[in-house]
Amino acid sequence: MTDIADAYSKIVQKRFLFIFLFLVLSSLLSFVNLIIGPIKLSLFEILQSLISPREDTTSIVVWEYRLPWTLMAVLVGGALGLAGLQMQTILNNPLASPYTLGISSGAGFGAALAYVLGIYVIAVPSEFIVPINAFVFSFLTCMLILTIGKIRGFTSETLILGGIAISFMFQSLLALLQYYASEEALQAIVFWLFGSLTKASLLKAQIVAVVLIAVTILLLFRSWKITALRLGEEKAKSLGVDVESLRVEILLYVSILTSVAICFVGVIGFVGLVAPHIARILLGEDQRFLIVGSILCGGLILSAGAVASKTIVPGAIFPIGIITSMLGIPFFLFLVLKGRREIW
Amino acid sequence: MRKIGVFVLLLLVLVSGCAQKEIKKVEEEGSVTIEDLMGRKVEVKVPVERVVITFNVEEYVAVGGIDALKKVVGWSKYYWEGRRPTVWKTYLEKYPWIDEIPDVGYPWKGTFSAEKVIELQPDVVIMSKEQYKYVKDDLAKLEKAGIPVIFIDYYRPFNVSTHEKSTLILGKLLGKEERAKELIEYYKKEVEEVLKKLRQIEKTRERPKVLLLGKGWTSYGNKHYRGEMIEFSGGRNIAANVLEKSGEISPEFVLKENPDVVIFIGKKGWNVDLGYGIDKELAKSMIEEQVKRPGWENLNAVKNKRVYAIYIYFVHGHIFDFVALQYFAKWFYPEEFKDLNPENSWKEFHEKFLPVEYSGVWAVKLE
Repeated sequence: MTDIADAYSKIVQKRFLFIFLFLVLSSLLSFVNLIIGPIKLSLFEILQSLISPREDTTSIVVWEYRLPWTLMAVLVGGALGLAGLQMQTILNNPLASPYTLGISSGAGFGAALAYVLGIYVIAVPSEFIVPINAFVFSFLTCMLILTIGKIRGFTSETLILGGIAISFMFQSLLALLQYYASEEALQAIVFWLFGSLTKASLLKAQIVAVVLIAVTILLLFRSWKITALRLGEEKAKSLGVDVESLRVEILLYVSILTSVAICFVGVIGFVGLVAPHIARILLGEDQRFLIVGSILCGGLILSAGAVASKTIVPGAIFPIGIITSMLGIPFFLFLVLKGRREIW
Repeated sequence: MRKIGVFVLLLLVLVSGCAQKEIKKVEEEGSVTIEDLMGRKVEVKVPVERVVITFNVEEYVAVGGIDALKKVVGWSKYYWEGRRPTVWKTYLEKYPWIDEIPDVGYPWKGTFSAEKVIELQPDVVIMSKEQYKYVKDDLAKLEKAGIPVIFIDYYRPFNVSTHEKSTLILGKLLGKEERAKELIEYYKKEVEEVLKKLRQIEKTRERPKVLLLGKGWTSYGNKHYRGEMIEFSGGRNIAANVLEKSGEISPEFVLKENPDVVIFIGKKGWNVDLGYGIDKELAKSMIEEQVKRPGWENLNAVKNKRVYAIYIYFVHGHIFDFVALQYFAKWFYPEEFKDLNPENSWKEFHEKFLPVEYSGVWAVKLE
């Protein structure tokens, strides 16, 4: 008996170690993100203006550009990592990502509407027109999927197939808008779809932070139920989990989380698919660790992408969506090929 | 059965022989060989009566007038209606019948339909050199159908040589060579003086640092014609250090470079509303919105109120790029060019060459 307890506590220790490692790496990368930029600032100057902001250029650069950029990378990455994890869990599908159910196409369509036709849902300050449009439409996508689930039952097949249908619908609508768009608007849409952190601001980072923390707490409370779901629907049911209502609930969280995350920065692919896998390979199935791990891992990947996006061509911003995939795929493949644990 | 087959074949050969003869005959009278801006030698019967045009309609009309507009049997309707809604509206109000002219698709969107063009049987198809790579595959089909395609080019900024060649081609096609000469002489007068003076100024003065912005943080390097325009107008394009063509510039880099002049490209519903029928106060309030970016209150351009917006028309492959040159020169060296009045030049261009009336606001300054 003690053997098992020992083994378990060893596993837990190892998991804590990985989480700690993630944390250290994330903080390191965040510092790199704060330090790197066209204007040369020392770490000391940056810390000084973080602690006591003044009215000079240094403080403006730190507070208005570097800090929002850094926070946004960690938070959006984290949100996408968590959303991806939960999507994979409730759909019981390793290929699922936050975008599987068409949220990204919905968001893209909403953003494009704002760019092409100047249509916006409610009157807001101009910097929020595109995000709110994107949010409304991505959320609408989720509601459509929930409706489909209501009609046909919340099985993973129904959700995936419904999601694919809705995804294609919005994709074709988006293509239609792109067809009508002028070159200028088209370029704006394409850049939006690539994803970019240049539109980050502290307020936006705060919004993402609030949603991310709230959803994380809610999910942590249900971590045992979700872990049970990973054993299979039948087993979870036999353990007394109401699978359907759990699915609906999580789906709702994921929708809000993803919509909020991408509406500010555009569609950043890959993070949401891969971060949960990396976390799962390193941490195992226990949701208490996996939830935190996916968030940290997502934040890590996007932070690395953010650093690269600034440094590839200093002074220009390389689309982050492109970089994250390029950076993350080799690492992910390495884990898949070399990892000892079964991946799914 | 075989006999009938042979007979039909014989008949076909005979008919096609006759048809070929007929085409030859037509070619002989009034046909000229034109070397277009792609360096292709194209035989066209002039003056043309039926025209398909996919870009540069303004230049075409400036040379040929309303008569030329009436000769258009197909065009990229989308190019005006979709891209330049205020321009389209202005022309449509005056000439409602242009709404009936069939659409042939838009090469840049990959929607150009050679089949539609063949159906329309034009004497010539006029396209922009920038569209060449999008229609390369269609050229052979059109050639087979005996429809000549001519490429013109107004994308090289302030380039008298390509502008002249293109304009003279339009003159030759439409049988309005005198008018074409008049147009290009006007253009030369408008640019050469400014360029000469600029080269003079540059010898003694340091070039102002300029940031040209599209949507958000999109800017243009010196391999993009918009970046070139800044350089040719005597400015130092700060985006050139980090971008080749177009892309996002780092907001922080802008603060670091601290540009002396900031220029937004605008059109209705895009950055700053400008163009036909646009209210000046609206444009002014929109440029004020644009400069509300963190740290910008410390930029030289903002402190000295050297922030401007210009209509996209002038920086997008047209003969009236001279208006951009004049605005830019004036904005970069206000003292030296204080007598230059780009707005008047643009008004005058309307009176002399365009079939619609001047209206609205085309450039605006932060106040």
